[in-house]
Amino acid sequence: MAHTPPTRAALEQLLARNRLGIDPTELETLAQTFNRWLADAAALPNARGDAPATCPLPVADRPDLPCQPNSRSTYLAAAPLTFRDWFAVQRR
Amino acid sequence: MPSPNLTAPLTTLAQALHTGALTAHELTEATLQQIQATQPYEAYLYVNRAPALAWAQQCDATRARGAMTGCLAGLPIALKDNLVTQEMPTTCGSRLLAGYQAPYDATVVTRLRDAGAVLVGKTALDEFAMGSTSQSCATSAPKNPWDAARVPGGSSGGSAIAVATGAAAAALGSDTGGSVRQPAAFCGVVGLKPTYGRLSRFGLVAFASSFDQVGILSRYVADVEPVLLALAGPDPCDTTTHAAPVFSPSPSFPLHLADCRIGVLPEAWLQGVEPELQQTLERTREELAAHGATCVPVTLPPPREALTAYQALSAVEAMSNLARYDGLRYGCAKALTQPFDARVSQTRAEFGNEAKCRLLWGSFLLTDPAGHELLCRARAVWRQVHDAYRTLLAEVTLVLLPVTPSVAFPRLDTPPDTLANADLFTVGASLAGLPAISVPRGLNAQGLPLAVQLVGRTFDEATLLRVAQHVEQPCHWSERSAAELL
Repeated sequence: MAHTPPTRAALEQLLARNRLGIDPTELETLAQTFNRWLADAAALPNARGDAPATCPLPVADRPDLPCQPNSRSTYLAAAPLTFRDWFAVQRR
Repeated sequence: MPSPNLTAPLTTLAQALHTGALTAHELTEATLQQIQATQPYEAYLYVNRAPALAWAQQCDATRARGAMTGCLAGLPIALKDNLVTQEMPTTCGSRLLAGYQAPYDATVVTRLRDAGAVLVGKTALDEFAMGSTSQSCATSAPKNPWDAARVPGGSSGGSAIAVATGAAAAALGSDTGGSVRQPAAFCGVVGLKPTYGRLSRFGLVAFASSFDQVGILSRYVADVEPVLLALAGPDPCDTTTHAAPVFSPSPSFPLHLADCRIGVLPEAWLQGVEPELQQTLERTREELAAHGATCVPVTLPPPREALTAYQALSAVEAMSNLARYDGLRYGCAKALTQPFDARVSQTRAEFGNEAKCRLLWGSFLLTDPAGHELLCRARAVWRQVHDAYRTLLAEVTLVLLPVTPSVAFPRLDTPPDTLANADLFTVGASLAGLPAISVPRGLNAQGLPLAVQLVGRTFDEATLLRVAQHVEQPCHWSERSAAELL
């Protein structure tokens, strides 16, 4: 998949979607940082793998707790939903 | 009574308090005066004057009665302003949380109080701990105490300045990708990031939960021990804390360097490191070898890949964690009569540009198909770095590497590459969840602090601190001439 930098309009759209207003004079600096991160990330090896567990050791000795957030991949998968769901709930 | 030596080791101050040579009230009063005197460096966002003096008096009274006191009783300690406290406001260096007063104390704050520490104030940081310079703090522009034209590092810059200048005996910070170790290196103090799970994160305002860890800054390696002992241990409020055996204090833990194998990275891996920092690393290796340690050549995944992966993963987690700043749950509630969307927009407009940029990057990675593919690559690198460190540390006792590619850089007109590389050598231990320490190694010809980093095995802070004691060369800020001070 090609990783071309988003256009200025696309960045503005992304900012608006996240309700992140920014001074137009600052947009250029923001775009430069964003594009540098994008270029760096695009240079990462094209490999796939599971994220390691959050805890360096298992936490199975805590059965009293309702949740065991020891899976980083589970956490990351849940993260965007938390944010999107929040706004979805508010719109209802 | 002569004024106390505020740059004395924590253990010396504790001994003076114990014998009655010094009272907690005198020490606290002297520290508060030093905070005032060093105010131009802008280390503190909030000074807890009256409660700190009252607490110190209480410590003195307890001691006078002959009752038991905690191991940190009467010692003035500063907190990074992303650790919530009931007694003081918590702003995270953001306009968004101006005047926010938490309804509870972070677990580490409670444990400091239980140990008798006097909490003297909250220190400056990059907004929501996102940054490596402390310059993205909305209400302060912290300066490096060795050269005010340079950054103190970040994001725990205020804590590092406070400790370096004697405006606190020790301080707590938080380290997500190097935010304790890097400012410690720039300010000439010790900075420990414990193993992920060693200290509770309950009450630490979240940035990237998979990597966030409370850290300790002090002037001497030996000063870390009593603070770590007071804070370590499982916490029912943080399921990622672990009941691993708590770190053993020094008398019961003799360590012979001859038993240690130190991993040393090749020159190619250290590409871009300033020559004087490479020389510092080489001298450290030679000293360790002279003490009997076996130094073995090792390698790790490229630091550039680790840094890129960290930037992506931390942005994604920040995107989730900072969603709570919507003007309803957290954040200024200026526009309560407005529709929800307008209220959120108005609240989030208060984020600084550094935070906005990271949130935007996280949003792109989570919502754009191309971004998602990049996120998958970042996760693969995370696994690779994590596994590489674990495999390596089965063979060696610890790894010696730089903290940063450069010494403290100028506050203004910093080249983007210098800023981008500030965390190049610290993110590896963060991705692997391992303990790591930044150790001062004296000053360069310009009078700026030099440092090296040691990364140890999971929950083996004890060995890390013992070896660090062998290589530390403390920087004495108080010995600078009056002309050099702000």
